[in-house]
Amino acid sequence: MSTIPELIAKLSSDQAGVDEAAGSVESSRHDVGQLIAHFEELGAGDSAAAASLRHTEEQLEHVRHGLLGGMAKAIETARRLVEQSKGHPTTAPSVPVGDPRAVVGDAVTAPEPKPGPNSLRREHDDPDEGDKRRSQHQKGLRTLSRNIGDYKKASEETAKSIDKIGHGYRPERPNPGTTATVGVPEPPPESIGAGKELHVADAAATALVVTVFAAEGAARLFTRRKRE
Amino acid sequence: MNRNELFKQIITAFVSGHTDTAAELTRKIKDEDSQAYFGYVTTLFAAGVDHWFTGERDAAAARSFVNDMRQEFDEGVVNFLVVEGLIRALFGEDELLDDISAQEQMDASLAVIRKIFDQSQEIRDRLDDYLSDAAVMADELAGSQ
Repeated sequence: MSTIPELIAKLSSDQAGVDEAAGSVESSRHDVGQLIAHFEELGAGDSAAAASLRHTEEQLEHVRHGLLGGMAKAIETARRLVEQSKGHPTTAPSVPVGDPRAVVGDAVTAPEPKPGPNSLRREHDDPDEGDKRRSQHQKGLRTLSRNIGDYKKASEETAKSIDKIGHGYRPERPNPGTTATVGVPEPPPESIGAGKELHVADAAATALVVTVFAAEGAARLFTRRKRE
Repeated sequence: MNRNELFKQIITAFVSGHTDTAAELTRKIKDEDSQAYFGYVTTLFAAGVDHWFTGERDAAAARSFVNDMRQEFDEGVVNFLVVEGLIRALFGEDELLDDISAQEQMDASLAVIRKIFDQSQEIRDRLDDYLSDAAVMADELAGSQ
């Protein structure tokens, strides 16, 4: 795991460091998320410390996005994050989070988890479930990438597919007012939770895929088939 | 137009129903960019499926998803067995991919992308984010060749 200053160093080095850094950020964000979860389990979800952690988590997500979108922006955000954590140390009574600057990157020690009836958290806020999903995705993506070596010419045949699929798509769109008896499983209602939470969760979904690729090393993953 | 910009325009046109434009642009993909495109589409497929399947991720869930798809595409347009196999392969049954060719995988991925990216407001709202993540993967692949 890396501290933010290390992250900046990584960003400033070569392009190859980007994937690793993205993985580190996601990993740090995951740790912060776990810590928040523990706060909530302890009934301290509303405390200032928890709020501060949430802010950190958000910032990390920004860093990750910037990382994938543009190096310079990411470095700027990371630097700002360091400045912020210097200025506003995270004080978490009874929870040793250590030096404020280390909070975002270093290993964090959380209070003992007390698995209680607190199951209102969303699926991917659950650390164990998150790990399970990540590992399942890692395996799944490795599988899906097997065929790449056989895909030599995208243009003509794929253009025909696009044509066929695009023109053949005729979704039934039941009116929101009518009863949907077809049993079509809709994606979760947009109104669950606050909009901001949804935004973060959604970003994490894409992040999952990309960090899995990055962790695996897309080059290795996608070229494996070539040798066969 | 650079590679990723082309990919972006293809998918943007495709998921917004501008099929002819998408097909026309697809013909412009250079042979040497084919594998990058495969990675691009695979990333979007995996991200879309990951977003859509919020509950169980198993054969039954995949089958139910495919059953809905049957109502949404004209007959003969999509190989639904391949779609089911592909989703289940992503969920962990990797041996199912053995019987799926690269082109079949590409076609099935595109059909799933067409459906999910059309029917999820969240993904539509953040399409650019999804596409730029996919571009990261395409770059990775291009760099590896």
